[in-house]
Parts: sequence; C-alpha cells; structure tokens
Amino acid sequence: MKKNIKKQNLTVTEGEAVATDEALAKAAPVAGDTPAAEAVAPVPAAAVGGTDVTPKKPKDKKEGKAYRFFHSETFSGYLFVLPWLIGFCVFVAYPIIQTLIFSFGTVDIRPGEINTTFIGFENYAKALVRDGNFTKALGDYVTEMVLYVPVITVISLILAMLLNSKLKGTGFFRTIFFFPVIITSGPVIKMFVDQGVASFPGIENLIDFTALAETLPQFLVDALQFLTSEFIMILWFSGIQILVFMTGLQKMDKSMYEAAKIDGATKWEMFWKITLPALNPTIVLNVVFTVVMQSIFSLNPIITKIQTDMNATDGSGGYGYASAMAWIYFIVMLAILGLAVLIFKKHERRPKRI
Amino acid sequence: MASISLKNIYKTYPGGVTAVTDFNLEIHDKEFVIFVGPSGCGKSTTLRMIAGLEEISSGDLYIDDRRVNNVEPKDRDIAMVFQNYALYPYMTVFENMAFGLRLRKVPKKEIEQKVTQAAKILGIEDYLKRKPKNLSGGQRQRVALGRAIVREPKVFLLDEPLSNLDAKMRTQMRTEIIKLHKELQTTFVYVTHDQTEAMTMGTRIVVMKDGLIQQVDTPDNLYEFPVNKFVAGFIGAPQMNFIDVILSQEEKTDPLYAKFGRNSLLIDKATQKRITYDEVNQRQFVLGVRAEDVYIYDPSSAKFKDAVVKAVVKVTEKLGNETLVYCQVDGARGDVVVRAGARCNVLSGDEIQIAFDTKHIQLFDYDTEQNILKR
Repeated sequence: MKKNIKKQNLTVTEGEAVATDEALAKAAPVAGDTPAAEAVAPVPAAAVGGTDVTPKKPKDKKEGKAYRFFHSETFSGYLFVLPWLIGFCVFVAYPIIQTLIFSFGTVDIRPGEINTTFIGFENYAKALVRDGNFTKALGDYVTEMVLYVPVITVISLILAMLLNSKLKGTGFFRTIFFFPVIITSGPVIKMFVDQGVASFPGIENLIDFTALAETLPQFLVDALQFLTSEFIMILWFSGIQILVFMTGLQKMDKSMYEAAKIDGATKWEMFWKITLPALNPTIVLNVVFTVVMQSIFSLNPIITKIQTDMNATDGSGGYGYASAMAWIYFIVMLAILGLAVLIFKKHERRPKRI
Repeated sequence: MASISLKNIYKTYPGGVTAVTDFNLEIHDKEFVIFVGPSGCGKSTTLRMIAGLEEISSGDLYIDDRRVNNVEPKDRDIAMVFQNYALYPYMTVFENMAFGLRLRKVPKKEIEQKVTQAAKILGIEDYLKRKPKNLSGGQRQRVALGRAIVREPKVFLLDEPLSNLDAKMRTQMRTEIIKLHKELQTTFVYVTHDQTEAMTMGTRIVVMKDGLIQQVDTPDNLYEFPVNKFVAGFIGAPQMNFIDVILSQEEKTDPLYAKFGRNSLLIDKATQKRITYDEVNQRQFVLGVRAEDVYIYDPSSAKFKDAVVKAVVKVTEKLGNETLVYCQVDGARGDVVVRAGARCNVLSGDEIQIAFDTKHIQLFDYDTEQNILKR
C-alpha cells in the first residue's frame, strides 16, 4: 500500500516538473519581446501582462493550473476517450434522459415535432396499479431472476471446475459449452426456442411432478418444474460465465492447495475455505453479468410488452407509457443487482488500517 | 524426532521423462539436509515426493521406519514451506497459522496458545490480524514458517523459501532459519539452487544434477574434496578455475608438472601423492583451482615460485573486502580468477604474474570429469 502511494506521488512531481520546465521555455521568448520584463522572465503572467509591475501571485497560480491541466496526462486521457464520450452522450445519455421526460407525460409524435404533455406520475400509476399485464410480467421477471441467477452461477461454477480439471477431452467440452455464446443472436435463438430446443423433450415423463407435489411444497415443485423445462436454456446462457470462472480458477496458486493438502484439508474443505472465498469477486461479476444478460435478452416478455405498448395505436400505450414501464423495469433490475452485490460483498471487508 | 530414508527412489513422468534416478539417502534425526543443484536437477521433485505431493514411481520412502509411499501428505507428519509462501489470501495471519490445527480439531485454547507462541518465535505477533497481502515478503515467509511450526511436525520441508526475497532479507532469514532449526531440534530438508545458502545452512548437502546425486557431504568436504568437476564448479563463488593441462614427469617418482600453453606448474608433493591413477604422464586432465588459491606473485617472498605464470588483467571487481582479478593466461580457455586483497591496485591491461598454490588444487579426469585425488 505504502509503495503505491509513493509511486503516485512520484509521477505527480515528475509531471509537474515537466510542466514547469515547458512553461519556462515557452515564457522566455515572450519575455524577450518586452525588454522591460526581462528581469521577471521566469514569471510568465507578469511578463505578458506588462502593465502590472508587481505580479499578483494568485492570478499567476491560476494560469499555471490551467496550463498544467492541458499538459497533463489526465487531459490526454480525456482526449482519448472523447470519441466514446461523445457517442455515449448522443446515443445513450440523451435518449435515457429523453425517456425519463417522456415517462412523465403523454407523447404525441408527428412528422417534424414531438409534443410532450406533462401528466405527472400518471404513467407510473397506470403501469403499477392498473396494468395487470405489466405487473404480472414484472413479477415473472423477478421470480425468473431469483431462480435463474443462482442456478446459472452454481452450474457454471461446477462446469468450470470440471472443465478446469486435468481430464482428457476437456478442450472438446470447453468448446461445446462455449458454442452457444457464438451462435446466440436474436433470430437464430428465437427459431431454436420455437422449435423446443430450450427444454428436455419428454422430461415430464421422466419426473412425475404431480407425485412430487404430494410430498414437497408447491413452490419447490414449481421451481423444479421450471428448471427442468428451462435446463437447456440455462446451459445455453452459461458459456461466458463458465469462461469467467475458469479464468478465475486458473489464476489460483496451485501451491496454496498443496499447502492445504499438507495441512490436512479435504477437497470439500479446500473448496469452501480456499476456492470459494478467492472466487468471490468473480462470482459478483458473473451474477451482475447474468442479471444484465437475462434482462436485455431479446425474448424477454417485459421487453416484448414494452415494445408492443410503445407502438400501440389504440391510445392505450404510446411512448410516454412505454418509457415509464422501461424505467420501472430498470429500477427493479438495479434493485436486483444491488441485492446480489450486497449478498456477495459482505465478505469483502475493507482491510483494517495499519 | 524423525529420520527419513530414501531407497532407490525414481520419478518418471507419464511422458517418459525421468526427473529423479536411483536416489538413495539416509537423513538422520535433527539433521539439516540441503538439496542443491541447478534448476531441473530433480531436487524439488525429490522434496515433493517426501511431502507426498508427487507420486513415487519406484523405490521406498521411510519416515521413522514407516513406509510412507502411499500415505497421504497430511498423515506423514510433515510441514512444508513453499517458495511463493502459498498463504491463504482470504484468511488473516492467525487463521493461516491455525488452519491446519483447526482441521485437526485441536481445541481452540490450544490453537491460540500455539499460534501465539510461534508468532513470538518469529516476531510476527503484531501482524496476527492482518491479511497476507498487507505484509512484506519477509513477513509472509515468516507466516509460512509459522504455519509449519504450529503443527509441530516431525520433518520440515522447505522448497526454496528465500528465493522470492531481496538479498538483504534473504541473509537475515537465512540466519533465522538456522536459529529455528537449533531451537526446534527437528529434521529439516531444504531445497535451494543457491550454493551460498547450502554452504551456510546445511549440516549435510546433497548436490544433484540431472536427477542424479553427485555428492552427499558436509559443506567443508564439498568445498575441499569435490568428487567431480560439476560439484567443484557448483560449490563456491567465484566459480573454481578450470584449466586443461597435460601432466608430465620424467620418471614415476619424479616431480610432476602440469603444462598448458607455454606454462608449466610444479605440482605439490602432497597433491602428487594423492593421485589415484597409476600412470598420469602425458595424459590430459582438468586442473581446478579456487580463486583464493591463486595469488598475485610477490617476487620478494618468492612464495609458490615453481608455479608462476604470466597473465594479462582483463577486469577487476572491487568488492570492498577483496578484489577479484580476472586474468587471461596463455593456454587457459576461460579467465583465471584471482582473489586478491582489498587494496590490490592492478588495472585492466596490466601484465602481471600469478602464482598457483598447487597444494590446494583438484585434478579431474578429462573424460569422466571425476576427481582423481583421494582425500
């Protein structure tokens, strides 16, 4: 820690040194033009100003600061990201703000003009209270997330650990599991799903859910039924997560496990005491990724509903209402993300100050 | 508390590569044995076989007369310290040290007492609540040592524990490990590629090359009586000087000379008597001489006057307490290094005379590279 700080300090002073050297070099010819100011050549502000004989220090400092900023690494950094920043502002930030404004009104779009009439929280009230379809879709979405995310995370972790082991043919299986990621594009996946690729054919015949319902609570059976029917879909969406977990696993120090082996830890204990804590940041990353990917998935029913309502011509929807729904959806998604991060972050306590 | 015996140990990897060949060694109780050799010589593999992290392809390994070939590492009653410390990053120093004991279901109070005691020995009491990432390299290695100590094992295995430390820290930890060995009175097996570590720490040193033991001996004997050219070159810094020579004498009992280029050295009588070969006349050998046994010739004392050669100084290295003078000598393939005094004033380019103390030379067979002198 200490080392880092020292290094930073060093770069700052280096940067300053360069800047001031340059400032002096630049100031010199200017000073030469006005002979009277020659004596104060190292103070560029006074030299250029000319009128003020006793240079005021604050003004001097201010100019130096601006100069330093334009010649600093920070400024170059901003320049580098500028194209992206412009793109982000025009194509992302502006539309986002626009939808926020839309969501508080009725939007009337005609050729050449957009009229927004402010109606307060009316759209939100409609979405949350009166539109049963939306609240149902939202509820389904939340349930799906609660089921999907842990299952995808756990399954991809297990698969990553299997694929990371020294078995023959892991290369082949790695390719197989990553394959869906490459071919998942909207139309392709829609066709697959329509043809029933997402579910096990005949799974209903293998597991008797009605019999299970007699012994297990209904919600567990529902969850189980949901998972079995969506199992292929879950695997389909695990490619990236598996990859991320595998990189996490490969970064682990092998001798740590050897030390644990000598200490007397079983494989099970090693997993819980060493692997899992070390993977915690990776798990957070994967959870966030899964939530986001699931939320923006093109076949997601909420997105379909919002799109349909946006284009509705019977006056029930419109851009304003669609925007409000999109914002509610966004906030719910954020809440899920926040919750997920909170759950996993609790281990990551900040190191005590020394 | 424990002796280790390795009998005809082989390690062959699935690809057919043999890492260790016919390794035979008796490690006595409380000994500090060092495996030393260049990288890839099989020293770490051997250590890992003792630890149980590497399977033994063939041969028998006994710890205290118990055959442990198929015993799990945790049941061998050993502790190991790794080069990269191998600490558990998400546990505090205390938890790291207590981990092994907790897994063995040692009562909490006992764990606490043992960890504190070990921390005291190693001077890390103040860091017990820190995570490894907030420690320096030296502190981390102390924690790793602590983790080994608390288990009170029969055998300590250390795999290049100082290699990741800076030079100053290494010297300090070296002394500490020696002290630790004295305090704990346990068997230590230590792997290193650094001959200085080997020479300063070990009670016995095992020099390895290409999976084969070259020599097992005390540091002094390794230095004075290396069995072959490899050991002679590996032990000692700067490296021993090697010169290809032809031995010649008139009659069998006559004085023996070593000739190379235009130079001729009279071999000391005592050395001549130690030669194990019957006939050496006109045969090629490799003469080995350590830098401290070569002197800048002083005509006034005429010491070693029968073994003086002309040399041209190429480079001098002032080390403070001594000066290393690298010379070019006619007939010698490499430089001849002379360990001169602190205030030696020769400069590169100087033509000087150097004298060999032929009482302390080694002679190696040119082909087999075995030492032809008996002890």
